Amino acid sequence: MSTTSIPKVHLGVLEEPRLLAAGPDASWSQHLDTFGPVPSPAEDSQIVEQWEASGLSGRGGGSFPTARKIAAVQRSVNRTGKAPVLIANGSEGEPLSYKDQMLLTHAPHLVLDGMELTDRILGASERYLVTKAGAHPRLLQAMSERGETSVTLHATDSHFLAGQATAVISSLEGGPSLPRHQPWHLSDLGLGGAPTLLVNVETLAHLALIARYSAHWFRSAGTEEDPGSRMVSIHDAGHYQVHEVHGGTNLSVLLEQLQIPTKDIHAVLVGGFHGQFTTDLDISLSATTDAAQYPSTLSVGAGVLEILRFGTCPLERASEIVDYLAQSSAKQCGPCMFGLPTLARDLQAVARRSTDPQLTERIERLTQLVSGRGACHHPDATARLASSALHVFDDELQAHLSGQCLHKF
Amino acid sequence: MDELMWSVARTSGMISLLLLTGTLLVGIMARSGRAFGGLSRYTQSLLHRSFSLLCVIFVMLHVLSLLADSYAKMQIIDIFVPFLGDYRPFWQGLGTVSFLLMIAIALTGLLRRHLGQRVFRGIHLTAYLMWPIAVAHGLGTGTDAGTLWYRIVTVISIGLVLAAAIWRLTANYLDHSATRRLAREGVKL
Amino acid sequence: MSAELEIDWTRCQGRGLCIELLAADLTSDPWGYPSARRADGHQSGTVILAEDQREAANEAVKMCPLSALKLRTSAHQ
Repeated sequence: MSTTSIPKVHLGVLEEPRLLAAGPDASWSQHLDTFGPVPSPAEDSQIVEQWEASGLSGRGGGSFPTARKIAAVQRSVNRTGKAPVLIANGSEGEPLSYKDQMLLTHAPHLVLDGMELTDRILGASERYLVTKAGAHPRLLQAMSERGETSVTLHATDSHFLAGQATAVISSLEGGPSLPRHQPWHLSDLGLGGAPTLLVNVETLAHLALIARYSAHWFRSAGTEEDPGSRMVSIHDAGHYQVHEVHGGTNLSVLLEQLQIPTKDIHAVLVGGFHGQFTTDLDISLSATTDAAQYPSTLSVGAGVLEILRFGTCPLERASEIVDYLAQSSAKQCGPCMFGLPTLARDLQAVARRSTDPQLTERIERLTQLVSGRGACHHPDATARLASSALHVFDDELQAHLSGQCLHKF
Repeated sequence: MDELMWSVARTSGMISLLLLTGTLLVGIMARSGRAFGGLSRYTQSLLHRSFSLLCVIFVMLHVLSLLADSYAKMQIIDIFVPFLGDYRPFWQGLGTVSFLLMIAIALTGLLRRHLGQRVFRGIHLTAYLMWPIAVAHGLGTGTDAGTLWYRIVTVISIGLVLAAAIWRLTANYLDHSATRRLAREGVKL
Repeated sequence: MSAELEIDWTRCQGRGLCIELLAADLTSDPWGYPSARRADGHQSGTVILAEDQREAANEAVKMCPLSALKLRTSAHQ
């Protein structure tokens, strides 16, 4: 889309913070001083155009183009005449992710701005801001600072699947915070049957900035394929950091910047517990999931990175994660309820250096068996993580199968 | 005319009881998810459905013939409100109770796809209550209850249903219960 | 045009009735749940059926003890 022929070299952490530009614990006045007021309703049609031109994709993990999501809700509203529902999702079920909590604590007004704008453009009848229990006091304060009374705060559970879209809907409808069988789109049939826009809180904050500063400004960070910036949560040997980085950033450049020496790093789990491992650090972290088109790119999902340093056995870590994921199953769908614990047990056998020659074949078969057979993508993503571990750590795997470990002696 | 009605009522009552027992037994069998020799899961489901529908028809016949029979002294209200009858009100009342349960089970069964699984299942499970009430009704007020063959049939029915119910409660009742148990154990600590 | 069997996995309890009726397309997984015979048979929660299976599929939808099945016509392939 851009006409410039100069390749963008923006890498690593943003030079100037965007989402957190108003500083820590930004109050309403600090927020206004930094960003100014939200654009007036007269500019609504330009705002929609700018959102579309920005190429912003969802920051909750799905990476779906946000403007298309909004357009789908608008179409559904025009077709059915039903008033839509807006849900800001900050429930962040992923245990290694902190960025939504961080954003809601330090830049709540940007998220609320994003809600105000999408609400205004869609004409939503109900607005919900869904968070993990515990993140409320700062939000209540922010809402009273700006006299916001139309947003309903909703605390959902903190378990792994609670942030999944249909689980959020179910929780809002008074049901359990578990995924549902939902063969239709939320934009057509969401909360209480209304056309529903469910977006991650970081996505809303970006929408608020694009509405003020234009798509061109947004695209001045990141790459052509992955424009703008994103928050990432980095977990390294028990230490957590959250940073705002360029879209499509190179992983090793980012790590060097953060003074995590790449020579100590054996591998990185990109995309959190629903992500994939990589030992090649010279890759870009992107929204795309199309590995065929962008071979040196990994989908960063909801922006979670876990560093695996030398000296820890990656197969043991993979086994721990798959066990956690198996236990996190909602236990609603048979293949997930029975398949994931079986997968976890076989992976544990690998981690414990079992020499059973059928083990890898059995794991491969199990990963295929559980995929595509559930109400949500939990079994698919768990299977992908497990097979990513076996492929990326093939040397470790061969050593384990002969009773050795390359990382522990 | 009354005599004919009386004999229709007796016969249809007994046939209903046998069909009800059959429905329950096939239902427990089908619930296990296992095929039994020539009885595929599909056949079991068809049998369960056919037996139950036939049972409803024979119970209707039973009730209507009793209404038509002036000796039975049954009023319309006795069909819907138990224990009001003039003739053995308690035992007849049990018949009314099981009739009402049957109607509820049949209707929720037919509307299964439109009701939630919970409502359907909750009501369907009352079949385990309805069957002994119907058996007691037959023993308490059935004209043939005193005969040896009726008692033998009843004892065999009770034995079969008890055996099926006990099997239903055992750990290996469901097909694949062994692999499911193994899977549920998850990782070794 | 082909038929797609939509399985509500939150309802399915693996009683195996559909596996029996649609033996050409479905097989049982180790825990008794229906699984597509074809490797690419599962597409986001649904199973693609052979065209001549429509009647059997209708019966499976009707008889599923958990009302977990729906039949969809799709433009796949």
